[in-house]
Amino acid sequence: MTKTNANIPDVVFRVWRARERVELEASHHFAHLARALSALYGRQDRLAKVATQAANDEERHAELVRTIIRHSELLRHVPPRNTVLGPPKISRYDRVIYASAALSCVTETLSTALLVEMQKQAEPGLIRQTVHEILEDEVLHSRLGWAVLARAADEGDISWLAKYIPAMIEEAVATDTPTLSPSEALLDLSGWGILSPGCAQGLILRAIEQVILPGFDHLGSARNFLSLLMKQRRNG
Amino acid sequence: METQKLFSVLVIGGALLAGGSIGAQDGTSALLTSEVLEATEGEPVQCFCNLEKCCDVDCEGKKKVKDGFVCCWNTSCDEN
Repeated sequence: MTKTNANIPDVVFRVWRARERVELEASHHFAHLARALSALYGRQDRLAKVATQAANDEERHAELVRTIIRHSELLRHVPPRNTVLGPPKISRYDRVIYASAALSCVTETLSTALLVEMQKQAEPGLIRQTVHEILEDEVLHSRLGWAVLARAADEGDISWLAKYIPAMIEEAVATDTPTLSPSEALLDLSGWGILSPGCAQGLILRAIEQVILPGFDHLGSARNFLSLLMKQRRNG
Repeated sequence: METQKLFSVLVIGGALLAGGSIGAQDGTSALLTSEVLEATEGEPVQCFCNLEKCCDVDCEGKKKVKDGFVCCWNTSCDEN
């Protein structure tokens, strides 16, 4: 960072602390996904290895983020370690599909779309370097989800997933959109790796419409359901 | 329009990862494989030129995108 700490708005620390928590949670969920994929397809399964790599990547991302917020006096949030993604009564196989869709296809895809723009706008130095390094990994993390779904679609019907997709998107959008006060939203924080709410929302909407929606298109009813959701979001 | 290019990079890239056309350890760089070129039916492969190995250096020492690839999301080989 080339600016002095005294010039850094508090919101910058708050947003990056939130990102640290998100990275740690993602690591936890990727590790869980890796174990589940290994149990289903064996330890040598290439996607299980990618999931393991993703878990390690996310831990490293959290460490990178900590270098940005190390001046903050607030304690690091430790995420719950016993959570699993998905509804309670589904099989291990279905949970792998659910987790891959929520974690990779939705969350990591949105993250990639946002990070690409963040990288463009971030100030050269620590912030841009950190964003670049995280982006480099998020591409593979997103692909992992689309890979798991492509394999599952080859193995059988995964249209049951459609009814869960809107909630996955809602959750991911809430996670990826920093909570800024009205006055903070007026600040230009792009140099600090924080997109304006309007910019972020536009990118998220386009990523949902042009990447996630077409990606889930093979799920049949998902597209109509999600198109309706998008209209509701726009009108709301 | 850039998000449409992201579809190719992520969704198609993921499908290729599932099929083994992209290796598990080098998923982000293996877009160089001929299988990808075939999968995109002759269309240039969308590539994060600042992240992936889709750039070359010409005889004059200038970085340029390899044949069959196109830089997406305003990335360029100069950033690589």
